[in-house]
Order: sequence, then structure tokens, then C-alpha cells
Amino acid sequence: MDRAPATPRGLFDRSTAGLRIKAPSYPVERGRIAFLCSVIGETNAIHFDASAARARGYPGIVAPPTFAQVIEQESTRIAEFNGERTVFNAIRADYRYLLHGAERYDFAGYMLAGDELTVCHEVVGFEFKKGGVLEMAYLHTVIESPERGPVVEIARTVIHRLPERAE
Amino acid sequence: MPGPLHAEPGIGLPPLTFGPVTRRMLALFAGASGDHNAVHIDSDFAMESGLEDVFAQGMLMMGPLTRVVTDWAGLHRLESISVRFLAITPVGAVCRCEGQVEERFETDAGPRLRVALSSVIEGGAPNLSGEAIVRL
Repeated sequence: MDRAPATPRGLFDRSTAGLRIKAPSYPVERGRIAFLCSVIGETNAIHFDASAARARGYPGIVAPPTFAQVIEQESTRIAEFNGERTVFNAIRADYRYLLHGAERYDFAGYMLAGDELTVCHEVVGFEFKKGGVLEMAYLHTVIESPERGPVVEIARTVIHRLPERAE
Repeated sequence: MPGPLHAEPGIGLPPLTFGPVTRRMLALFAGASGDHNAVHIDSDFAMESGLEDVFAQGMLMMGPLTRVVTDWAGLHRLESISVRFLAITPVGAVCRCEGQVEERFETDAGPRLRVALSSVIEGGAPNLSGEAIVRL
């Protein structure tokens, strides 16, 4: 019997579009900054040495741009530990099929060692691409300093490469 | 190589090479980044998920590509950076990270440069493309 073309059926929970989750705040530590730098090959002294950083006009040891991910991931882990809902659990990300599609950072300030930064997530929306083979989720995160205001905004696209469906 | 203040469209930023990507690097990046997704560090999990092997975290590759801009312009000039992940980066990959000034433009907050970024796996395909906005 002929079948009509299957409607794409995704894995994300689309009812979470528009959801906002305030995640736990995250303390930025110089040791963690140094660890990330060592793996990505970053050797600039502004990330390791407070006096070198100040000599170049930074208020103190400053994290490299992609440290924004660390803040977001670790804040999420604290939420998991506390038994709180996390954005990745809420959208029902399935790590067997999850790919990272895109990442954008807009900086309004610095992520500094010693900061305690707040993290707020928003589920922007979902869509299918490539005829339903890829299922996209768009996420937005704002990281703020209670003293200095917004520091960095993250726009992220994560993708399910949808598995073959048993029918 | 002119600095950002005197850069004209078309000039290339000093490139850098990152890699080869090793399993050890993927494990360390999982710890450093906080992204513990097993598909990057556990080959059993990767194969159960229908993949041939673990592959690099996209964000591991964004780090060096971002350095192309910050090494040249300074962190204090980086206003925004965005990347798209074009292909999986396999274990063993060596990536050539490059940037090129595309445009100089004015905003209400002052002049800016638009820098195009690309990461290409040696002997293979582009794995990241991106764009940075640099404050002048």
C-alpha cells in the first residue's frame, strides 16, 4: 500500500518554545580559565596573570571568549545537581543524535576571575531542515554580572540528526 | 601585517594551525569546557549512536579559530564572534585557522571591522566558518 510522505517527527519537545529558565549563578575561577586555555592553545598572559592583565588595561585575569560555554555548561550542571530543570533536559536533547550547528557570542563586558555570573536561558524555537533529516533547536543565553550588568549573550543552534524510523 | 586600526578589506590575519586532534585532547576539553557529551569521549557510545568513532567537540575547534582574531586585534576589541559547524572534525585532524578583513564600517558606537573566519581540515574539508566584529 502506498504511503503518504511521512510528516517529519522530531525528538525535541516543541512545547518548550518560548520557555525561559533562570539557571544557577557560576563562580569564575582562574584555575578553570587556565585549564580551558591549556586545551585550546591559548597562552596570552592576560588569562593567567593578574598583573600582566592589568598592565594591558584589563581589570584582572580575564577569560577567553569561548569561556562563555564553560559558564553555561557548569551552571547547567549545578542545576542538575540541585534537581532543577535544565534547558537541555527541557527540550529533550538526545545526545546520541545531537550535533552543534552554530554558536555566536556578543560581548558587552569581560568574564573575570572572581566573578559570580548569572545565567538565563531562553528556548527560541525549533524547525526541520534538509527535508526533515535535521531537527534544529535555537537557544539564547544571557550571562550577567550582578555588579556590571550583561557580559555576554550566547546564541546557539543544536541539531538532532534524526535516526531512521522503524515503521 | 598592519594592526586592526589600519587594516583594509582584503588583508589576511596571521593564520594558525591547531592539532592533530587526539583522544586525550577530547577528554581534556570535556573536563575543561564542562561539555561531558559521551559522543566525544566514549567510542563505545559513539558506535552505539551509529558513528564510526568519537569526534571533536565543535567548541574545541572554535577556540583556536577565535584566537586568530584575539591574537591579532586583542580581546578588548572583540565585539562578537559567530561560527557555523560545517563538518565533523575527526580524531587526527589538523586544522588551518584563517581570518580575512572583509569590510570596514561605521556604527553609532564607532568604526568596526568585519572579519571572515574559516577553519579547514588539512587534506580535507572546511569544518568551521565564521565571522567576528572588531571594535576600532
